[in-house]
Amino acid sequence: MNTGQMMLVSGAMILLGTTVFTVNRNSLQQGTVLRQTKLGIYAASLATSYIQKASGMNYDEKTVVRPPLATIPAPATIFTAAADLGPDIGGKNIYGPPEWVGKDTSFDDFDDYNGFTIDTSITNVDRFHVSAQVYYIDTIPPAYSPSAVPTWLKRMDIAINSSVDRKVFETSAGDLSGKGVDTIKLSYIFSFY
Amino acid sequence: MGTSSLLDTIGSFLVFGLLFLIVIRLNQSAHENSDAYSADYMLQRNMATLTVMLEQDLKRVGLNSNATLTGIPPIQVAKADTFQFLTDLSGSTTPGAVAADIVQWRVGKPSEIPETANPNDCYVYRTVNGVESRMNLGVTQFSFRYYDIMDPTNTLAFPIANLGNIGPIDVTLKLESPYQAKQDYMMDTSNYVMLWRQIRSISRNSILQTSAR
Repeated sequence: MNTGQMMLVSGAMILLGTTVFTVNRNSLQQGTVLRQTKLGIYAASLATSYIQKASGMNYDEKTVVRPPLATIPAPATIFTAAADLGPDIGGKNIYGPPEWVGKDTSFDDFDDYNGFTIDTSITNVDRFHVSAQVYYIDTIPPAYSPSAVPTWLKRMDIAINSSVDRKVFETSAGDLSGKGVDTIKLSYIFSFY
Repeated sequence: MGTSSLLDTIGSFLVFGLLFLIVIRLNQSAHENSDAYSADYMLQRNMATLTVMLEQDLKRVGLNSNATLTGIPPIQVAKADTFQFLTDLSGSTTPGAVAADIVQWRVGKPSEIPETANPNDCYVYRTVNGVESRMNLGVTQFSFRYYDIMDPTNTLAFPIANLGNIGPIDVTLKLESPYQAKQDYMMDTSNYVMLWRQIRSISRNSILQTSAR
């Protein structure tokens, strides 16, 4: 082959190589996106399950056994102080499939989930890190701001992280550009009645 | 034609053949991936659709069924594959102001869908006041577990004698694609054709009314 022919062949190879790499990259990106959305569904399901578990419990440790009340008292007089929200000793066990049973087995009221963290696995899917915070909020909409004193409302913020390797998004400089954390966050407001 | 030209021609054909094979394989792989991703996407969409409908219904178990007055538990049928309950789909906030609706969820038999390559997929039926809606979403498992309201660590054994004892409800779903994409990679089913999800719902209406019985 002469020089002209060699250049033509080289150009063709470059075009073909570019096409192959582009198709491959697009396919991998599509798969990654689908994988992430699937993990998002699982994470949302997991968060919903913990919210459901918590919402089935009592509002406060001090109201597990609810005395008859002649008048409506102030929340501060009958509920746990805001600074003391968290798990307490004793209580009943909580239901759940074996793979989701964790440290919440002794929880019996909603705010026991304050500071709750657990690593849990779903078979053939991934490991997830669960963390929750519970705090009092004002009863004034629409802000529902956090309250330093007991109120009739508690809010749970629950976050689920998956442990999937995020290095696929990493740039050459090691920058994940905010894509390094895959977290689902859900909130739930629970009222006393 | 000299020897050099002949070699050039043969070489060109060889290179062309190799490139052609590469393009054909690339095209085939792209189609395979596209099929697998489409199936995966449909699976996720079906799962989201089904779970949203379930959550909407399960959180309304017993709504406005007036069980505290009638003494009739809002849950009417509680089996592993069937769940029927009283509710109020009108959204009225006045207890007992409207007649209760009867909603039933149940799963069919795999033999009802012989058209698909997957031998395990079933129809899911949602019946509202006797009007049945049939859904083909690739469901291969759809089962209920019921927990004792007084001791949520215990599941209730079937048949459940007292439906008023039902507290939390555990729904297990498994969806699969109607056909197997990328069959050579089926060892890792989680990436391609299978999806599993579990929802646990507690109806506060049910708990309140049952506790008051």
